[in-house]
Amino acid sequence: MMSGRRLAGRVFDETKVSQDEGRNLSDLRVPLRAASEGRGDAYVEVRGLSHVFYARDDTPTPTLLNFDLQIGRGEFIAVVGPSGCGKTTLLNVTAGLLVPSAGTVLIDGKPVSGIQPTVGYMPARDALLPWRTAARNVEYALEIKRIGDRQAVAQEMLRRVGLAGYEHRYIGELSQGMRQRVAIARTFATAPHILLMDEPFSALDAQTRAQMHELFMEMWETDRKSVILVTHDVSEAITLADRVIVLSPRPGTIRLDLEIALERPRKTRNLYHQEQFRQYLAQLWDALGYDSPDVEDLASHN
Amino acid sequence: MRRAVENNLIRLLILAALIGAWQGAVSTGLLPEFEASSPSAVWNALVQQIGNGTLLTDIGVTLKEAALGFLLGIAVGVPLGFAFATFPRVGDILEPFITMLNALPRLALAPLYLLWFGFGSGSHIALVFSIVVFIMLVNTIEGARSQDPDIMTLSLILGATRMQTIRKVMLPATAPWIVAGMRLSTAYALSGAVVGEMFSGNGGIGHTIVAASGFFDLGVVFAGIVMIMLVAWLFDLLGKQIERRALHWRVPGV
Repeated sequence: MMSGRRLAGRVFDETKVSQDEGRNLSDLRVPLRAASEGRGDAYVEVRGLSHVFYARDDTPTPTLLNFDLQIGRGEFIAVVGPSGCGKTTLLNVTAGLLVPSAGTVLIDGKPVSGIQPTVGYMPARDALLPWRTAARNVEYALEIKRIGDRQAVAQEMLRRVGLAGYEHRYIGELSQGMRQRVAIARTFATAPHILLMDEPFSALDAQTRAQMHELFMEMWETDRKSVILVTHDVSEAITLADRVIVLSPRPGTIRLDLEIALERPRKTRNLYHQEQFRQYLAQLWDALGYDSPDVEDLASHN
Repeated sequence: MRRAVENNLIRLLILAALIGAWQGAVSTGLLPEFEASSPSAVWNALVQQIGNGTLLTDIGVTLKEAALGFLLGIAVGVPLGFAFATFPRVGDILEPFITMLNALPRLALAPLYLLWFGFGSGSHIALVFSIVVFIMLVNTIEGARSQDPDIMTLSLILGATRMQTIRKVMLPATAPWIVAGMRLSTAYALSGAVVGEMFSGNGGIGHTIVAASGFFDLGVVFAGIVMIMLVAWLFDLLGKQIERRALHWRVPGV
């Protein structure tokens, strides 16, 4: 019932704070270059980011290596790539949850250290508190951020996502799509300057996902903040983003940095008919490659 | 609603059938009344014992011991469970001790408690406490650990302090586990108190059962047993009500 490992607790370990302090990147025997000089106009700037995880047998596993990225103010970036290529590491470092092995992330010119008050986050599942109503879930984010006038803000945000009249429903009484709407309302309620999204729509069925894409873009376009969206879904990346970054398998490096020149505001129902959309899709798939990296790994081990 | 009424009727029928079979077996001489007693003898004992007040006094004593041990067990077990879940290293170090202590049949400790806490209620309360505290501890640890990692990450990025996380996320998320532990504990608390009374002291239902069986007064023995079952059943009904109120946000089927 209680094995030692499990009693070690996953509660605060989930903070993903680096356990690798004191370790050295020289374990990897790869040349690290000094953080590059970035462009001046970037709002979020990733400089020479490298991160190494240690497996149970102390084998160093690099997830990101000398990674550079500039994100403009109000720019919507999508990052796609195979599992383990360092997408989530990028988000965790930017959020201040993880101290990287090397390199820095600058937000508005200031290096990230610790939790960033201007960062908003949308996880893979809706991450709602089932013992609170829809409105009280939006208020949760406001309570932690010490933002006043919570009831009014929550009501307004729920109205904007189309949930007027559902404020006092418990989460268990809402459909998947409605829950996602609550999560979107909560995300925008604290007015973050940068939004980090870790496959936020991956748990939804295709139709609900398309609806949520439209709703999300509608909300985002009212005050365009910088976004880093991590996703496995290539068409989701094209639908939402201004730029799509394709990462290679671990350690992640940029394979393609593709500008998405589709007009805004976008409507998902129109996008899929556009020739341009299909071209982007083909380009991104060519960059990703069609082989599963896991299978490659297995083959090279045998 | 109609289904509930029907179920209650069926339950009454089952009870009547059991009591009827018992009475029939004794009346026809299939079972010796000396060993099996009989529903009518139990009924007479119940009426007599309730009438002269001894049974109610006994229940009062047993309930007081069970309740005190139960509350103490919760007061110690729940915070300790949170501490272990929040400071995983401590939990990791102490885990084998908890497992061993929890595996120990606490009822076997009754003679020791008699030595340590005296002949009276103290040793019975200690027995109840030592059972309940581990149920609450293990349930709280399991509940506190089964947090949604996405909610924890979200809270961290929002900037929640450790106290805020415990109060606003961990405690409510663990509430169903704590309530389940409390419901499980009520039956054990009652048993603990009764067994403790059988070993020592001069009050409570356990004591009365042992005393009556010494005189082969099976009517009183069964009257005591019936009272324990009734009290346990009432506690369970009460527990269900408390659960419904405390966890009203839980929607059936989710």
